[in-house]
Amino acid sequence: MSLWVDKYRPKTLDELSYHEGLTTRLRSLANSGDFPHLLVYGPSGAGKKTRISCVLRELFGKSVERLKIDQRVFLTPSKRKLDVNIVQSNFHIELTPSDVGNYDRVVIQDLLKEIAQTQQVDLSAKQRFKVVVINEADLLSRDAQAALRRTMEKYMSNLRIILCANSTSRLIAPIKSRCLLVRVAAPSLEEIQAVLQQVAKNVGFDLPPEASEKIAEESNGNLRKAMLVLETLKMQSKDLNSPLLTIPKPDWESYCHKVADLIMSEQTPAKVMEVRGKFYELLSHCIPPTVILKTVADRLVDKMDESLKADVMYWAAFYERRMRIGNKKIFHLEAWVVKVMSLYKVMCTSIY
Amino acid sequence: MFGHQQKNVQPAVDERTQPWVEKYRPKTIDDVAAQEHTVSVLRKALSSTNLPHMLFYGPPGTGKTSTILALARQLFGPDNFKSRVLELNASDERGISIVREKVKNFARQTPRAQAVASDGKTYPCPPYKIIILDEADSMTQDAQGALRRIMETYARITRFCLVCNYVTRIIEPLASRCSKFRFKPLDMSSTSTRLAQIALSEQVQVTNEVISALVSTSAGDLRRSITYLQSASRLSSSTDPPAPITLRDIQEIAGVVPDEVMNNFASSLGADSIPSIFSKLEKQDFDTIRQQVKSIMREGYSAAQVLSQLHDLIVQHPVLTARQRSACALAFGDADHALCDGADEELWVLQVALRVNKAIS
Amino acid sequence: MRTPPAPASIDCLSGLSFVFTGELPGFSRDESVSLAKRYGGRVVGQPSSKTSFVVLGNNAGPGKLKAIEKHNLRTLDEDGFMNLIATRKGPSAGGKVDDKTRKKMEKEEEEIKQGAEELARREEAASLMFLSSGEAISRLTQLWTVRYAPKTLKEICGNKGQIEKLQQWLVDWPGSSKSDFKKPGKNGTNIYRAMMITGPPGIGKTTSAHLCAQLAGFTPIEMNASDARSKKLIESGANTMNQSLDKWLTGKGSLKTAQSVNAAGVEITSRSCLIMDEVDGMSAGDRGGVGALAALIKKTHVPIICIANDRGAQKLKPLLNCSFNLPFKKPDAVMVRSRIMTILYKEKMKVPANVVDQLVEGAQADIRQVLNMLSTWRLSSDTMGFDDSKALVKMNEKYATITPFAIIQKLLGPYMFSPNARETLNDKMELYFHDHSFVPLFVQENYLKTTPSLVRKTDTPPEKLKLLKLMDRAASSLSDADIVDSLIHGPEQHWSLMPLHAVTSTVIPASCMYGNTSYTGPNTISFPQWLGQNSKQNKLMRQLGDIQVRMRLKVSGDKTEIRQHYVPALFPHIVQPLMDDGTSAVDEVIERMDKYFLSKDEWDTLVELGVGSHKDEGVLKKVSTATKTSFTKKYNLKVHPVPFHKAQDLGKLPKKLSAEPAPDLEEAYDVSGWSNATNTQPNFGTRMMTTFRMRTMTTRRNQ
Repeated sequence: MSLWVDKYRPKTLDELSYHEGLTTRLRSLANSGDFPHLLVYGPSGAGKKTRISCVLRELFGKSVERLKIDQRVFLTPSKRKLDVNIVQSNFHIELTPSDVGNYDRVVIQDLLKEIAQTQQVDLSAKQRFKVVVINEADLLSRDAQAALRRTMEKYMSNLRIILCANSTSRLIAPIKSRCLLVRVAAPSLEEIQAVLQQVAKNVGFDLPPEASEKIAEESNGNLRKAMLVLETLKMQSKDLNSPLLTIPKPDWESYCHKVADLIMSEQTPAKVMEVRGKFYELLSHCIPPTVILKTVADRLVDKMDESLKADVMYWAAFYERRMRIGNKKIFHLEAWVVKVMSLYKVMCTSIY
Repeated sequence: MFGHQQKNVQPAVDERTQPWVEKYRPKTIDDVAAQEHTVSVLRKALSSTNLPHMLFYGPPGTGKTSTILALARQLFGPDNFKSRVLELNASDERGISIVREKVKNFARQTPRAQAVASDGKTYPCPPYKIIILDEADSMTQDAQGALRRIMETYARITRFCLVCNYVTRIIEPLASRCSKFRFKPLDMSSTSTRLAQIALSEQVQVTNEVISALVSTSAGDLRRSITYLQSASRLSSSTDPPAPITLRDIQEIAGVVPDEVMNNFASSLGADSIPSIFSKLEKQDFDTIRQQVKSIMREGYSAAQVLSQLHDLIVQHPVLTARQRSACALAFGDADHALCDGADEELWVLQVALRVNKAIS
Repeated sequence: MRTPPAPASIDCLSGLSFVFTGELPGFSRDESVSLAKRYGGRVVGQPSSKTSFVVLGNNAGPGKLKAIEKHNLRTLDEDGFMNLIATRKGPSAGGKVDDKTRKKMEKEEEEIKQGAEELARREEAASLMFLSSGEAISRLTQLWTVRYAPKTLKEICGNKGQIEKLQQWLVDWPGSSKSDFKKPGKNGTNIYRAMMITGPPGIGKTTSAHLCAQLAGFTPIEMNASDARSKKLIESGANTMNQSLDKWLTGKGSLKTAQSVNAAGVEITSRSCLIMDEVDGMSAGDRGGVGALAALIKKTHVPIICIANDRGAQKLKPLLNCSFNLPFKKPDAVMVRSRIMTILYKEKMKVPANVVDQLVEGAQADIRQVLNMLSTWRLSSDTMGFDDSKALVKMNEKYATITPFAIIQKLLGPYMFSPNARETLNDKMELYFHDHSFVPLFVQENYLKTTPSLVRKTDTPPEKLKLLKLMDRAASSLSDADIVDSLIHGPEQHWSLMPLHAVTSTVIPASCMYGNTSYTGPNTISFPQWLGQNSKQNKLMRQLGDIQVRMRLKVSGDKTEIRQHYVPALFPHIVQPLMDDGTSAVDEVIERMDKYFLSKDEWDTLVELGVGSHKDEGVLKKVSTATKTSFTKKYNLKVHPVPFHKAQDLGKLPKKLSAEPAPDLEEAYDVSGWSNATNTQPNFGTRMMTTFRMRTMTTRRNQ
């Protein structure tokens, strides 16, 4: 059995539960025969991909759900071979350019050209065009975006592109202007609770409103997270009605909280080195540095004095940006920790 | 007035999906909206058929590319256009190798004799070619450097037109070889006239309110407003019966944050859009601001958009002192730079919010 | 720097010994030491009863102060020291020197004269011999190092005891050979068939081996780095020898048939002695050479002497086991000096003793190098002053002999940045350029491990704050440095920013945090973790990618979402049951894994990705071995769904058993290769590690 989040994922536009206005709009677009390029954006866990797959289903019918993963080999200009995994059905393909690092331009160009030049062979297909879904479009390099811009015009007749991104900030203007922007906001607390209750009903157990509210609050608008937490919770605690119910935190999150506590406990070189060790542990286990920084910072401002909170966040933003430009994330994380420690110490000493 | 030029549209492109921006691109330089000075200079150049090297600069969507394309078309006519004009933009490879090969090769060709115009009109067709380098400011320094000699050596048979947003990113030796034309942002009236024109010929029902929303969201960028209009009409026509275009639709298409959200946000930072008598209320605490930022980010608005709208609110704020506003402006500047570097949006919006709050209170 | 006064005479401090402690206000340590030496004084590290003066500065070491009290030594401050230089008359100016010193000096002079005469005599004899043999090579045209190479054991500087052992072993060889190497002899050497001489270059290892062999009546056959010494060649070389070595030295052959010739074309007799020079140089091209040599040693019946620089080298392990180890030390500076003085006397060069000392010290007691330096100097001048020698030493300074460890000791040590240090910014940056890829990493790893000199005591609040301020400066400068670094190594490659990187990555952090470094405990200077951690991260990232690819048909999240939300959520479904219920849960777990197309490899990765309470070690410990085996067995029995179009094994990861602990770093390097686009980083790390290893090896050899 799959996890609930996957098992009860809506398959059609009709099953979608919130953002009704958006759903109607998507449905009419899919049926209008004038389907534009789409740029779907919104925070993670808001349901972007679910909506995309529902739109695809609306466009092409049930057979679009027959997916397979195709392994393709691309040749870079320097004659190196790139293996790329592409999820595809007969009507659409889906690719994640960040898989191929700096060579995303080559892959995008080759792949789109290839698809654009093959006509839809399936005569029973409902549409004349194929759809290319590009995940994590905001991580596309500038080169790739520029290449995409041309392609979008050139192959409009038998190709539609759906870009899926967390934010539009990093997309160049020509791309944005060629797409219809579709914003998928995170579900509100009530919407999340409703979804959770629905799932509980489908599974067949009783979810007390207090528990679902707690989960919804904890999830920070990320429905995926909320669903996964619900399932973990159900597995681990038999009694969901208990007032002492604690929402299980993922391993890395509690680990980050430990780091925050370390920073508060003592401000010495030895502690910095201990923190460094913990950061290494998190980084090497694939927790993105930005997530680490934000989680630790969030925990710190929860516990710190009001007067320091703004400064902690200021420096967090400052070093987060540096992490993006720099290579060795740990250097910036550590600089931030030392900065926070020194601020904290100044405050502590000035009090006494 | 578009009668005969419609034929120039490439037949391969589906009429319906063709971007209106292309469809309604000015066909002569006289069609170019609101750049009177530039147009008048160019008109003279056209009649004397002697063009200098040119450098067009100005904000996006002000008609730079349209002007040079229209000019070239008027000079050479549709039949010679292909052989006489080379257009390269940012989506083409424009590294130094391309400059050295493609550009140079094209530049050194002696122009072919004028083909007889098939549409029966006569064109001046002067004995040189035009190379249009669109978005020249995204070319590398090296590539620009390689252009220097090419521009001089083949000046007899080739004219260059560099088009860019930021003239400062063109290296000095290149800029000094060109006569510069500045394109200013379009004023409200010419944009709205143009939009109304297009809406009319596309048979889209628009209210004045929608037009003014289009104009204000695009901030003088005509191309953007046309694109928005097209998207909006597509949305409205997709429903049956076609729904009228609303203000909200335009904002959603443009990714603009609704005013009430922004006003709410601003007032939580202590900068009410409508200054009340109690404007010096209690200082907002950290957690309120953080909550506000979180909820805005949850809505999925792009940080750059949020910040630019907040920026407008603060900078045009009626009661804040100049010092307060400049402190805020610094924060906006930093954040914009950081977002360009790809920094985390939530952190930076929060940082700006905190800094603005601090500056104001 | 304060200008020192004009000395009363050039050797005004001769016969005196000095100890310096603490920081003098006007001079750096190096300068004051060199002043003392310049005027003929001796400088020793620790005060003893024989010390004439202790020069005290600020913050003198407590140990030294105690010693002063104990031995009742005379102390000087900076002014007193200057005074001494300005007023005391040395022997050359007719100053008084106590009898003992004078006698000693006279005796030294006598010895030098004798030695020189001996050399001259020998040369004459040799030239006569050359004349008679008709050879045209005059000894005068030979290199000094050849010309003055020791001809008797007495002439070899230092290592007397070791040489005696070697001598004795060779003398005893026939006897021990007969007794089949059972009797240890008085040095315990006689049970070995080979000797291994190790020590730094230029201290006479090869010379000693040759001399000993000759004196014990053996004919030395030398094989050195210029001869190829691969396994094959050694074996075949040994084969030609085998006729001799095996047959008659094992006692089976007869002496007469044993005439043979080895690879070097030298006849081998029972009185041959094989000298394998530079065995640690048996590298890349000489694959298997060391092993073959070790095998040869085990059965040889001629003595074999191996010579190497670094006995710690990994590849010498096999040899160390089967040979007696003779470590050679650098000879005493005094011995080298007398030898050099003798030679100089013979060459009629006037060089004072303290200048020679300076040379010897600069060359790190490498006699060969001193002779080379002097012979070059001789071409232009007959005399040499103190400053000349300093310049000469500086010129001949051994470059690239500093390991990152030594650099970091220097950088973070207490002297480089102390107020009266004389190093310029350029000198400090120079340290970075010794190894610009490693030094910054070392600084980052270790900058928090010092006891900073800028903060005296760390227990008062203001001092604690100051410490944090310094740390903050250092850390933010390191952050700057990384930005600079990414500009240097980014697409634009601004190499001209290297000096800026040097300053931000190395100089600024060190200038904040310099102080005492410790050699033991948790704060020992250590190798940067970054490389290992980085390749581990890349490895896990790649494996996470595999997981995502497999789960993709079911799950919409990207890699980071899989890690952040699915990995913790899957844990109670596919790992926890194995921990809690053991074998009975296996079927259920496998079923769930199939739903997400996860294979056993991905299960391992899922476990490995855990941190904190889900840390892989802790988790795997809780899964019983029986469960693990049954899990593996059952999984392998069934056919599992594969999401791929082409049924091709995606990850070419080495098959691991679940019982195995997390793979260590070495393994991380081996799995590179399936995704060429993303694996450049770990390879880079590997490369850096290997170059580093190689570099330290070469450095050791150079010393």
